[in-house]
Amino acid sequence: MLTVEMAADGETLTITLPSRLDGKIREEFLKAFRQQAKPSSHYVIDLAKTSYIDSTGLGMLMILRQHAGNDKAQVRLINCSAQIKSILTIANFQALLTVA
Amino acid sequence: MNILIADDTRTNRLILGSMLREDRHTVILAENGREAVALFEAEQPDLVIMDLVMPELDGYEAARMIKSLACHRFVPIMFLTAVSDEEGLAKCIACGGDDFLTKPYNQTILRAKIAAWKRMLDLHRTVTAQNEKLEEHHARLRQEEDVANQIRSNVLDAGCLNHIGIRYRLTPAAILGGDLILAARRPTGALHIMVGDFTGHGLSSSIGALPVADLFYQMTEQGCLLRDIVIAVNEKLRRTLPIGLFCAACFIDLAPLTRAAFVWNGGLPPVLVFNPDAGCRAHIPSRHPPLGLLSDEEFRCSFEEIALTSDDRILVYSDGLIEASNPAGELFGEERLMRCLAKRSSSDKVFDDILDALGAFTSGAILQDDLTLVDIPVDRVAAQLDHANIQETSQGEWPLEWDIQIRLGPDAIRTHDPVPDLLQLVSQIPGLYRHKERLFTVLSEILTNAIDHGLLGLDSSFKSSIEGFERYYRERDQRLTELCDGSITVHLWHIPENGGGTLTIRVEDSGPGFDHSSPAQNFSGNVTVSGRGIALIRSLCQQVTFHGKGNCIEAVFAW
Repeated sequence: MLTVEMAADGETLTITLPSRLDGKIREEFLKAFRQQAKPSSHYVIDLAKTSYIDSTGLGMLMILRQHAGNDKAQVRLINCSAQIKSILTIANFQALLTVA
Repeated sequence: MNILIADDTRTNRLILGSMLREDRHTVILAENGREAVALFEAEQPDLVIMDLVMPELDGYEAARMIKSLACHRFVPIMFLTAVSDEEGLAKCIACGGDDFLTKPYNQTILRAKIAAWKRMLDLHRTVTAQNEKLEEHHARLRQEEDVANQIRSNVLDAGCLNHIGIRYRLTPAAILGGDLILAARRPTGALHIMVGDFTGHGLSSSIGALPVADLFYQMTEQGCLLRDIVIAVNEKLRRTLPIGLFCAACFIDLAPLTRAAFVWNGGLPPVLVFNPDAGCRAHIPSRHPPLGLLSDEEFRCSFEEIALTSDDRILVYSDGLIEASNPAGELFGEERLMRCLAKRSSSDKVFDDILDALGAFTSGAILQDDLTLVDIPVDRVAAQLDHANIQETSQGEWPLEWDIQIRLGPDAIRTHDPVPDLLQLVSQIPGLYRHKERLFTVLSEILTNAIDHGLLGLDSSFKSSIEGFERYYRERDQRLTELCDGSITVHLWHIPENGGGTLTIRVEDSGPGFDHSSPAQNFSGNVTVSGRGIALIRSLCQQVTFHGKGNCIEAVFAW
């Protein structure tokens, strides 16, 4: 299950991902930020429960980046496991998103 | 009632006897004390009415003997006597009598007294019967507790807690405890430890430990990450425990090679790291609610990492330790515990120091709650783990070289995701488990490629925008539904090689293939939504080759 939470200031949208970030959750994931009236200024993606990711999952993160304004995007990936980090590094995502 | 009358005067016996018969009692007559004792034994009356002054054996002596014969049976003795001095009457009670009435007696009063005694006897019988039943229940409960305790020990002892150098004290407040300590080795060599404290103590809190232990051992053996185990245990408890019962717990993942511990503490007192040079050098307080409360969505399972140095010990305790009280009602408290640690005694003595201090403090007061203290000497545990791992590897109980091939037809492709099963299979190879996450990506990527591009003929180039991404998946769903022929063959084989091995993944689809001579994808500068699949496989595997017309890919994962 994926959960979505908006901070009290209305500026930061936090999406907590399930154990897998792949094509299976694409609809839920896209819905999480696309149903907003206007894009938030900050996005936090919590991967504490996530063990696996594939290229569709990476693609979905890129969609979020586009949605959040490409170069101006403020997207933070938090609680990444070492394994997830290594995949993100391989895909050169550190250059595109903030990985913590 | 069955009433024994003892009187040496015949007239008295006759008058009293006929009066009692009139009231529907059965009457037994004795002429003196000795006869009364004999008849009491033979006839087992419910009530004895006795004269005091009799030949052979007087009333006092007869009463004494009757009471001792009656043993646990309650048979009231009422003296009916001409003696009226206080001392004589008091002696009636002293020698075992229960009541007296002086002669000449009033029939109405005597009848009233007999009725009162009957009521007393009935009450006594009810209470005795209930008592027996209660005792029976109690005995059965004790027996069941023994059995439950046995089951509990069997389940809890299934791990390696007693063979890995960990010291612990687990003192239940009742026969059955609600605290538990579990330790088990992952196939990769890391150690998983769980210390739990269920609310309350006794049977109800003890029962909760069983599914937890089972799940913990099973998942650890399968090589699951401790993080996943915490999630599963929480969910299991949330589903099984009634509201109000939950489990404060701490999980520790001890990696002997990297000398690091990952700790999750939900509801237990702080986990302490002790070192003789620094005393208590770190503590990890509870940062989560106990297990069994939060749903999967709310549950957080972030672990804290502690770098370990030599001589470190990890100490875990339940609140039963700091809440143990002395006879004056004071609590042992965290401060006394810290004082034990501040002594910085040689590492091995810490455990005993704490228990000695506790023993001296409580001086035998009864425990109000289950008490648990666990001492994990990191060096020793690491050594034991290494030793056990070496033994296991040399035994070679795992199938190291294997080969498997599966073919998926349209229905299987539509309804079944083979990646988790394949991952489960390859994770059985010791050592390869550590690469599970990477292997997931590789397998998932290769299969997605084979299905999406090979069989369904989708073009990922229109995935470049959000709209395109959605169109892509709509198209994919539709083509998948319509897919009526074609297949995918997955062939996996593993060859062991000096300490590691090579896993080859070969996937062939029945599609038309593609021109694999076109330039390879890479990541740099790719800010689009797609085009990472093949590049990911190339980065994660040592070697990737395409065969035939591009409908067969072979990836080699060496480790």
